[in-house]
Amino acid sequence: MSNLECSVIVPSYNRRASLEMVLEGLARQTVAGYRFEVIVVLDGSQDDSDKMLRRWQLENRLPNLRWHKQTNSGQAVARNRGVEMSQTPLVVFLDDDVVPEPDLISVHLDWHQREGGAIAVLGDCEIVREEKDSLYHLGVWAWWEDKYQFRALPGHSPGYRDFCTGNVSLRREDFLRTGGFDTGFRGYGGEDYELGYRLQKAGVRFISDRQARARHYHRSSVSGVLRATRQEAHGDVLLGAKHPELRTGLRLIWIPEGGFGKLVRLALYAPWLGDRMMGLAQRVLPWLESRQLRWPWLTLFSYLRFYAYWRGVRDALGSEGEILCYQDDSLPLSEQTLDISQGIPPELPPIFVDGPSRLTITFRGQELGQIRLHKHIEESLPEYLSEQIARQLGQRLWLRLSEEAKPPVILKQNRLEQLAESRNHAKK
Amino acid sequence: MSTQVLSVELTEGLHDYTNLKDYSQVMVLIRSQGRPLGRLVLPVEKGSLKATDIWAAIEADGDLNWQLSQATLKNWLLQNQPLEADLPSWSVIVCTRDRTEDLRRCLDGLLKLKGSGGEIVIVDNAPSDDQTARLVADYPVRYVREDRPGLNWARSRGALAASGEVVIYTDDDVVVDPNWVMAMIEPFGNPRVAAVTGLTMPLELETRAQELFEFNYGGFGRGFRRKVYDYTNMVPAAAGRCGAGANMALRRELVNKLGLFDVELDCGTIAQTGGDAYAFYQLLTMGYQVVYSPEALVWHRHRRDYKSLRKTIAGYSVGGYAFLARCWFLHGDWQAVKVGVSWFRNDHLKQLKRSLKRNRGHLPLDLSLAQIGAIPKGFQAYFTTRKQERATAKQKVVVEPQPDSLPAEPIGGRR
Repeated sequence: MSNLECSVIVPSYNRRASLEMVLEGLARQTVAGYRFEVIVVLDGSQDDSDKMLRRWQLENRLPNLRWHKQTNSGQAVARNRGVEMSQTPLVVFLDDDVVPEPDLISVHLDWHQREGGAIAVLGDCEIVREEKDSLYHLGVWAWWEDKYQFRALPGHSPGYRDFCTGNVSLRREDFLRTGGFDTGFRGYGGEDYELGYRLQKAGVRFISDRQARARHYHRSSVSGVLRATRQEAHGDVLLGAKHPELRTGLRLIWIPEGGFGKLVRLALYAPWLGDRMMGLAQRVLPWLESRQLRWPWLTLFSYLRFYAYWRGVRDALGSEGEILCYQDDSLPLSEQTLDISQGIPPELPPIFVDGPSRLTITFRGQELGQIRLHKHIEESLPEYLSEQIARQLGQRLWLRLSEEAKPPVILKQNRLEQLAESRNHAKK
Repeated sequence: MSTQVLSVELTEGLHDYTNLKDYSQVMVLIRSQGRPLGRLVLPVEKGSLKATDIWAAIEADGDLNWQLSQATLKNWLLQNQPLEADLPSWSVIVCTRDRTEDLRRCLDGLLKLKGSGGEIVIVDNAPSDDQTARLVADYPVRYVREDRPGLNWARSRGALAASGEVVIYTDDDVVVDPNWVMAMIEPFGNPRVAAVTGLTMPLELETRAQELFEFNYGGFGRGFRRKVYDYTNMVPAAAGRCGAGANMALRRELVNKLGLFDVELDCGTIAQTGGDAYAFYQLLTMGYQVVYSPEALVWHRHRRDYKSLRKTIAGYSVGGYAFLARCWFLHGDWQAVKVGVSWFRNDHLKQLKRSLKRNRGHLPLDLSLAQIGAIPKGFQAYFTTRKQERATAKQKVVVEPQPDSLPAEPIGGRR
């Protein structure tokens, strides 16, 4: 066992075919098979996945393949069990529909060798596209693509909401030190963010690398995602209950006005009616899609998801009064200070992306003003900040700058010219 | 009665312009650090334009002021941020047909481009003589010939011959800005971006026809703010609004894989225009983003004589409705119907009303009528081209790729 460098932990539930593809992917790694082990945890699968795994063990294409079968008890328990079984310093989590590219493990190992210390490497799970994508699938692809892109941008430090368990590696020691996944999260979602938050608090640095690639065979449907959204709300409630400081960043922290507010009331007070209405609305979606009426489809789908989310909140909290109490117990917005005497600093602290926060902007020690940041910024953070500062505090900043020197803020070289020049250097 | 086109760089300071005796007004593009911020139309007094007048006009224009302060502040705030490291390689593709005078000016502009890692490909589309080939031989560019007449076929051939990851298309009647290529390839760092379009300004407004196109018809102007389009904020059937084919960049891999331009649309075919819109349409429906970046600036020489202006404007109707018919009939896209109706109501009918009432800045009545009269031809063009496509699909003609006449040579960034 001493040669092993990392354990790949794959929890699985009733997905024999795609699990086999994951194993195929692992058998094709550029890293030699004796350097890593594969631990599959079958979380109550009833589709003969165990027979398939036995066959793999007989064929011996993965020298260190082990598996464990348990009664269905959720992803959190399954992953914790996998880590318990492993004995290597590093663990890599993969989902059972995430097929690794041949260099995946070597990219993960390289990072840990190079950086050492407490880091977690977040890899890509690129959604596999089909010849003719449904609108739903298209949206899923676009959402994940944006997420991977922005969290890997220079100047952007990944936050706890970037910690997804589909393709991630970290030290076993850090996992155990923070206590692993919270087994209180039984449904879909929430447990990964929660662990991510504890890891970050414990000083684990997140690194996002788009080179650590895997292909995600995402196969869910509209009704599946609506069910998942309902469970996600449950996860959000648990997350906020465990870490009240995160409540301000949750979607359930305020009930919107207008049409969406009415949907919330419907979900809270007349779920029997709401469920029926949403069931009917769901049947309209395929018709809209067949005529490629994209906007009506998108609008209706966003209503359905919104309703499903609040339906989940009702499952978890019960009544509007309890939701109000839950919202009230949230801590005030986190306050932070950023000095921009030399422009936005190249290295930003990671905490900015965790929920909405009020940011005090100072210039040479003097306060310029406050700007409010919105939750879950899904674009390049420095660019977003520059946009907000210029828009909200532009006039004051302009005045301060023109007091300093004249002509004030004009930089001689254009950004595009800098780009062109840096490129010329690179070529030489 | 003509308009002088000027470009003013604010960081270099303003100065007086004399020698404007032949012009009644001036169109000024205001730039700061190379970034286009807005344009002003100012009258010429006694054959000159004073710097103070330009500055007063800038100060009086609220939007321009806002743009200027925001752009400057953002640039200052981001001065210490790392630059996007690996940008894709590029190929500029110029499609031309028997217009050596324009092409020479275009090539001279292209040689001033900044940023290495690219090449220039000239696609000669069904030429009637060897003039273009002889002109191109003097320049460090590649020459490719496409014998099927039609701008779309030329674009297709260009993408097959190109070697860059991004193909940047422009026309022979265009002069590019030195920063054009860098502005074009910058957004491609994001894999979701499949196409980038840019700002197209008039190169000259010497004749009445050119002024009519720019001011009364609306020109190619798409504003001075960067926009990111995808299927959630833009109806794919309205893709014509994303930008124009004279100033667009696409991922080569997608162009070739999806055959984006392998359609009988655009110049030289019966549909006359619409090839660019159809390419954007296909990309948008697949979930990709199209970015409009005003920093990617080119100067386009509009048609000088009135007859070609009328032909161009009627051509937009033909190509536009041929494209919409294609979306509706071939792709089953019902949003195309809505786009078609609102285009007719909000643009064509409104322009007709203005022409009849002789409002300020109206189009001449015959132009308004010409663009409405051309609509049935659009539908006709769609059915004709579909018939042709079905016929060629039966024959299964495979066109052999032609050998390139000149080896690839790197362009740009030579110091």
